[in-house]
Amino acid sequence: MWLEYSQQIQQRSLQACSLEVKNSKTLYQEFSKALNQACNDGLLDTKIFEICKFLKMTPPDRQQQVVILGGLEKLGTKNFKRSKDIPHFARKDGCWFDFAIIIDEVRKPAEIIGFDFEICFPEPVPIQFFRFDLNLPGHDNQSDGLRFHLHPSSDDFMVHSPPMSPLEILHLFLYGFEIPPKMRR
Amino acid sequence: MTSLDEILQRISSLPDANFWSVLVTSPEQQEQALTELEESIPIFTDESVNVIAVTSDIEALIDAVRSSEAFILLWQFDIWQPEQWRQFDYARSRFSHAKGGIILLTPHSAAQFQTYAPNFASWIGARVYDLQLGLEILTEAESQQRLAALQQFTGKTDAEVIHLAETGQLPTDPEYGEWLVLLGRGDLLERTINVAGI
Repeated sequence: MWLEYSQQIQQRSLQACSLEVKNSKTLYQEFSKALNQACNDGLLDTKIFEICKFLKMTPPDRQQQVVILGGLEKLGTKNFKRSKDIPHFARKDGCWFDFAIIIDEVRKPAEIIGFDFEICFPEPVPIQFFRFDLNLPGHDNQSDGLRFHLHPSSDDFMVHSPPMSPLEILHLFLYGFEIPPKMRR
Repeated sequence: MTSLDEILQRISSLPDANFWSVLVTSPEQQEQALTELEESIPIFTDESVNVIAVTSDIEALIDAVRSSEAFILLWQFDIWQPEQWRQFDYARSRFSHAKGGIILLTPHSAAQFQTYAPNFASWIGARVYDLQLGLEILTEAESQQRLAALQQFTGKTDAEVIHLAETGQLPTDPEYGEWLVLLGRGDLLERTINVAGI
């Protein structure tokens, strides 16, 4: 029964979520604008001139799938160990985040077919990270109903993600997750 | 050298300020620069863009700029002779425009600008930039570094990942999609999508 519910939830979530984009370059510029605005709003430790260094994309004219990468200056050091020593986009409150988005430009309009967004929290926040994953299309996603999911500070546990586009998740990472001055736990 | 992103940051930081700047690119990159500016300025500034290709008629140019309510992009200055530049310089105060604009030049027209429109050039001052396109694109070295990180994390090789994709066994974690794109094998990703019936 849960499997049936899970698939229904996934279907609702994906239908409600806007994953179509004009093209990868437009999405890149929208991300750049949001990051610049957050800098201007005083929310980021990342300097405005560093945004260009941290936000990159694969060449859109070479093949019809494009990846947009964010938050990793040393791009050979994808931060699988969640070390704060590797530069990311960094918030003034100590949170840091990175992301990768895969866009398929074969389809018209172009469509986001996968992404991962992860935000990490500083001590003493009791949770370590949140990660939003949109897995690639595939039969195992359809069977377990968890193609679009959220990892609440655990790589092993996941729950259906709310229907949020990558740009919305970015805004959540920039302006949401406010760390309260006094935590309940 | 200035990137497109840095130009956009400057423009968006001074809205409605009659902010004009000069961007210089090679003749071969003029059209690409124009396209990228035309597409990205509205995203960054929420303003529309009016692209004006200059002709020898300076009065028509002034009218077009003054009557526009959009951010202005002026280009194709290589057709100008010194006389047009002098007239442009003489009419500089009439180019006041609330939204501001960009003058897109080649090295040849940039030199003409400095020589035959010295007052306008003086007003522009330091806002003359060599525009370098494509700085947002991953270099080959950066791609290789990224691939190395993926290999280290998963313990797989590029060949293994390609084989998994070819045999329909590619894991659906998003990093594997990224991996194929970095390898230039987005075609295998497309095949995976088609098999999934999406």
